[in-house]
Amino acid sequence: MNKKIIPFLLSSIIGVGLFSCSTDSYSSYSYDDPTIYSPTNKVQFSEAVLFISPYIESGGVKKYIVADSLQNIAVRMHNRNWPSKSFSIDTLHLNNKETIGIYRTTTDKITYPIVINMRIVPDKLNTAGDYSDMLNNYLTLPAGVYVCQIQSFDILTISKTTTKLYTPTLNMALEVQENQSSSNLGSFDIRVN
Amino acid sequence: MRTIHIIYLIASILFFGSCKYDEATITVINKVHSVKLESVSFDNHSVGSSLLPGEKVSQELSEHDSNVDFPITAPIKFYMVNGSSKVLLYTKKSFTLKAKDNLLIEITDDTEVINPLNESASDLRIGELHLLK
Repeated sequence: MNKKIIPFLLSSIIGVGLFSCSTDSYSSYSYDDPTIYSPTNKVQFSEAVLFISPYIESGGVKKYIVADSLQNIAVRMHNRNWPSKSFSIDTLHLNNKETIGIYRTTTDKITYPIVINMRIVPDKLNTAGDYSDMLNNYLTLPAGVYVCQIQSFDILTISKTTTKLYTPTLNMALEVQENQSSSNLGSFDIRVN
Repeated sequence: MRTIHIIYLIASILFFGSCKYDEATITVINKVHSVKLESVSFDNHSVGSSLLPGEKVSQELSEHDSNVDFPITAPIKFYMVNGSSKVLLYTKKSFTLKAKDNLLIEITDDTEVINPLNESASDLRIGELHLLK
């Protein structure tokens, strides 16, 4: 009886050992630093998109502010500042332009597209701790929901100078999902006094 | 006559066999947060295969081994690993291991490191004999 049990036990032990081998867990994101080798092809969240339409109200009508672009957009999210600016707008071919106050305006709705680059580039990679932070995704946004605040932006006036417009009410939720590279925050009309 | 030859042979074996080779020990400790250090080596001599945070490993080097000639001056080379991602790193500082030494090296969050891909050619020249091995 013992002669049958021992081979059985040995086989069981070997079988359990083979099937219980654990593999390294895979990282959540791939990396774009050239020093990192990563066989995983998962997608890293890199940008958020939103659209802003600043306007002034004149005679009960919305008049949208005409400018080449919005500058120095102050975005605050996840305890970090994400300075951004909008795409340029072809203002030359806009119709129905008029000057109201210090702004050039039009009745046509202008939507300024903004892309917020959310890929955190490490300031430096000098120490073992810096590399550990990068490998541990401390420098990217993991999946979750974040509060995004658009605090202010600069816009060109009729005198070719810029003025800063504050937008304390422009807050929205940003949801980052696994394997997602970008997210649309939405489109917002902002009344300028 | 034959007996004398045998005695000479035995004496020669004992004499050369008793020659002492210089030895030294190098110990490396991983004090970097949240990563493993793998394939740790010193001047192309393997020190340890895998170190979790807080783990240490020692390796004795002897001049009896090939390519060991004290003193040895070199950086520590290792792969920093998290999951399936890894990066090759060298300590920026080189360490000297002399005969009969007991050298202890801590790799911490503040240890300056370099990856050859991020270093300019002029920077590499300083330690290129070690980095290009």
